[in-house]
Amino acid sequence: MTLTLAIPCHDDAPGLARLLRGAAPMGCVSHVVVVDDGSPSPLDPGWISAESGLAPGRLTLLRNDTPTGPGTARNRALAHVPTPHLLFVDADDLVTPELPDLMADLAGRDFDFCIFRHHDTRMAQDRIWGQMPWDQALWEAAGLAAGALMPVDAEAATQLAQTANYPWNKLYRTDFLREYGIGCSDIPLHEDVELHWRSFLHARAILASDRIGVVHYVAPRGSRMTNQRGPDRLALFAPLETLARDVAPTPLALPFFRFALGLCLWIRGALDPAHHAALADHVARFLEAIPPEVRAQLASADPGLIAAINGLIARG
Amino acid sequence: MTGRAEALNSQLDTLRSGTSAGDIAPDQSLFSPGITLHGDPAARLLGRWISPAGRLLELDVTPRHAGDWLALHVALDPGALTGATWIGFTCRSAAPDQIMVRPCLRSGGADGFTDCFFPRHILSLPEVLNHADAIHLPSTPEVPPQAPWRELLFFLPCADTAWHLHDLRLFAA
Repeated sequence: MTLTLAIPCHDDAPGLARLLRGAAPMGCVSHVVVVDDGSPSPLDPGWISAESGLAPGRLTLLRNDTPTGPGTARNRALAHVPTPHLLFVDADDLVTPELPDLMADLAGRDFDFCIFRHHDTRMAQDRIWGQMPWDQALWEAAGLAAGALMPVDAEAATQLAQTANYPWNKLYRTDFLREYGIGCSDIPLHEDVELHWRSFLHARAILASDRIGVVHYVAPRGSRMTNQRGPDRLALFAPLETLARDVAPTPLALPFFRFALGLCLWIRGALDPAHHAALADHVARFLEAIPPEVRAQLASADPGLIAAINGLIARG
Repeated sequence: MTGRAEALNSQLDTLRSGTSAGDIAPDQSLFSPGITLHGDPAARLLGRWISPAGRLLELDVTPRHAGDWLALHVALDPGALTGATWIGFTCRSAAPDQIMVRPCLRSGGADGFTDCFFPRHILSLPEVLNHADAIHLPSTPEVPPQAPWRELLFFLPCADTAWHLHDLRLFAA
């Protein structure tokens, strides 16, 4: 069983080379699709092969002349994936030696996606190899904290769906994404929220693995997307409102709205105060999309969250 | 790997390098040559075992009746300890529900066997943990210097038990 790595890359040739140097020798990685998302210096396929050891025949390099953002770049990469399975990774991520073992365990298994654990570099300061405590707690609540490969039932899915909405901790069946038209939102930030939730919404067979398959690099400061404080973050509300309509009648409703409101609070902390009033308007409108019965469940399950959201709206 | 380390670890390498699975037998399950699970026959064990790729074992055991003991046995090359000062191991393990595992060196003899427990229990949690322990042989006279056979045992609770042994490496020096 082999897979394609689908990688958006904006001005990070050294990171891409580092990622591919680790992935190229892995027999399970048969192909790599890189979308050069408007890097000032276009990526050169010969340089990538020379730096990473990836044979030219295993690489598809596409280019957007102007940056489109990682979501649009991922969607473009998906259209060129030649294998039955794929993994989205970012250029500054690393794949670990557990990835081939996970692929070996998945051979012959029927699944739409397999979610696996990752290492977040923020944990390294505590000498812990693993993900952030809140994500780990959700895996434990799902009863899936230990096991090389486990089926995810509907109840466990409601827990795992609340983990950070990363694209690179899920190994996908390519046709699953294509059949349901699942992809990232065409927005500059939070583009992976829709990919994450639509995956849980449509999947008929989900597997989970406690293997740490990817290292995710988090920089506390700098110009990375995570640290952006501008109004681009508010573009999230368009896909969020569409998702709300589709998720509302399903068992994922409560976890989705809980997640979404938590994300609103996180965005307020990350956003420049000049945009707080606009955020409050978006959040107020979004609250109207929550069905009354789900709102009652939320108020009962998490009164602190609702109070914080009301405070966000009131303060503007 | 040196000859001594290779002799101690080759059976584990076989299990680690492949993938396999099966049902737990009522009293004795063989996972790979030299690696077995033994349970009190009175317990009439049930369950499943898996050897995932790159890992050793995931055990999920349920006794049908009350029993007194349950242990994973790893056969050791008895010659590998000849002249050694230390016998020890490192391992990585996890358990969906917290358990304590007690490692033990068992040495065969004319009248049966002698058990010598390692100083520390293994704590296994949902989070994968490393563990290392060793026996200093010159100061542990209960370990016979010569034995026709030896085993490393991991005593598990003889109850509904799930234990994941990701890795195990043995050494003698």
